[in-house]
Amino acid sequence: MASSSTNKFVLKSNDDVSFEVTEAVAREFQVIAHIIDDDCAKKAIPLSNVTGEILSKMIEYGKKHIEEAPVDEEDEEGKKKLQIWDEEFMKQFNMEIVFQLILASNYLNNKGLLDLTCCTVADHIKDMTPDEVRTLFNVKNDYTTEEEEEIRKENSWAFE
Amino acid sequence: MNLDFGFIGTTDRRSLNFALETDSSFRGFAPSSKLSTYCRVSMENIVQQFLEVLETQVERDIPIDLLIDIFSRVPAKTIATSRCISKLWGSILCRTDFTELFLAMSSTRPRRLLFTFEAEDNIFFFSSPQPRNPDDNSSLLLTRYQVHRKQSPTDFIYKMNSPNHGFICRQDRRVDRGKMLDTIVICNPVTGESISLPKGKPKIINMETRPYFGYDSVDKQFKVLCIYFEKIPNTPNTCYEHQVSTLEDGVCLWRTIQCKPHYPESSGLCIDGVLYYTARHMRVSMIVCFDVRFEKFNFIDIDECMLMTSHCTLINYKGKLGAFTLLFGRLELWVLEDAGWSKNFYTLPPLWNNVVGRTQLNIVGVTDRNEVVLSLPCLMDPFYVYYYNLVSKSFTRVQIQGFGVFKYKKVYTFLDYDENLKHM
Repeated sequence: MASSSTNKFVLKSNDDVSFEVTEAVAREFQVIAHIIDDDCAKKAIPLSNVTGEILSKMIEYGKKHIEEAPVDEEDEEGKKKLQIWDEEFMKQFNMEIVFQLILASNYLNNKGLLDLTCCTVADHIKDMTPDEVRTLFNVKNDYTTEEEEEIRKENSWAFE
Repeated sequence: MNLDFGFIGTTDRRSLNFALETDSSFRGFAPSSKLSTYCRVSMENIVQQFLEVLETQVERDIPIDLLIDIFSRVPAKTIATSRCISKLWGSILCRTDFTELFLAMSSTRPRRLLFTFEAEDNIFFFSSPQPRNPDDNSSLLLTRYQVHRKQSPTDFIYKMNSPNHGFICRQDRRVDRGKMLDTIVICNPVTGESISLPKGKPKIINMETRPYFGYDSVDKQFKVLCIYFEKIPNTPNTCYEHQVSTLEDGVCLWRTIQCKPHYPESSGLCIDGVLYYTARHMRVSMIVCFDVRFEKFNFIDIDECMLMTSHCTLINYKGKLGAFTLLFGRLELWVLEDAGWSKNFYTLPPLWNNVVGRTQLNIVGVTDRNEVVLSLPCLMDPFYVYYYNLVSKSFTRVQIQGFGVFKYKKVYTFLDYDENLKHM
């Protein structure tokens, strides 16, 4: 029987870009792992919600986390190295790509990448004004001026 | 609107998406409606704004549970400001299930330093994320939480316990006609709320009180352990009494529990549902362990060589009980392992004397990066927090900015403070 490092699978994005990956990398995504376990991965696995651009980045992340996985729970050095790589990896993306990565890692169920991308957005919004948050998440302000004033007063310490 | 969010693992997407669709304040990007607004402005503006919209247009219809996940990772200050972004978000960010998730996600946020001091009729709380790689050039900017008003202007903070899951238990004292009146107060620095606990009724009057604060992470309950003892320690017939109370919806009922007599010395430290403090009885020193859930006492022997005096500071050393003493330029660290106490001695570098000189420093704790954190006991300008790395033996100080006009106040510094948005 082929091992998970030699067994290959093809992942196909919604814009018809195909990626050949090892089983170990494919299994980094829970949804794909289930498809493999159900023996439904004979041909290319179509991923209708992910573009080629996003999928290539997710595979890059998955590969790195397979290759550089910490030896065990105690491997602080390994964990730290991977954490630094994660930070550098996220630096290359604008918010649009980060949002797409959030949706795709949620869809393909990769908890590590979902955590990382959510943290990136959290870090991005932490010093934003309410107006900037509204713009980023496309939220309409439905408070009246008086209502908003009241909420601001209740949380006045945070606006200082 | 009544939303039902199934948090952590069992997310009911349908109800969330329903909420998302039915609430007009939150909708994914809709180019057509945006564009109709733009038709009122000039053609040039339309092109310009459309380009901007395209540029900023992202896949915004992120499921609300993922947005909640994102918000659970920001500091409390961002939550407070974000409550005014819309009615839906105002309500979500105040809900109990969100505040619980926020606390559960503490580990995803940078750990925080907390500073507190009293000035005139108020108690101030300031906090800042702990620096990741402190060096001499680092400085930290503070967030100031709600100002807490003291119960009475004549009250002063007598004892302050270290924060536990975002809550703080302190003992306020007032001297009234030569009598000392103590009040135990539980407060949440972030929400600005505080409650004074009703007085326990020990059998013997005129006893000294010492409160300790613990958290039972299994039943998710805060408990206060209160020790009453006669003011003269180490006399053979000293009377002691121990009472415990669970903090539930503002109700506080004291129950008497049995324990062998001990005279409490240090302040308390709670690790994984066990409350630790140092105590003495008849010249024998010990560490008292109080299981917060089962309300049972246990006692740890103290190593003979261990200088377990009032100079000793109990610390959380990577989840284990540790004790520090700082004497004559030497730092002693004791850690309670499964096999007993392990000890390490550190001789402080000469730089220590140059930087600290004769200033007295308090041991605040140890970070997960093996740095001993020390702080000045009094607010000075400039104010520093000192880091001594146990591995690299390097010593640095970090300036803390933002205390404003406050000076020469006795300041309590705490490590690993978790912000908690919960109301009492």
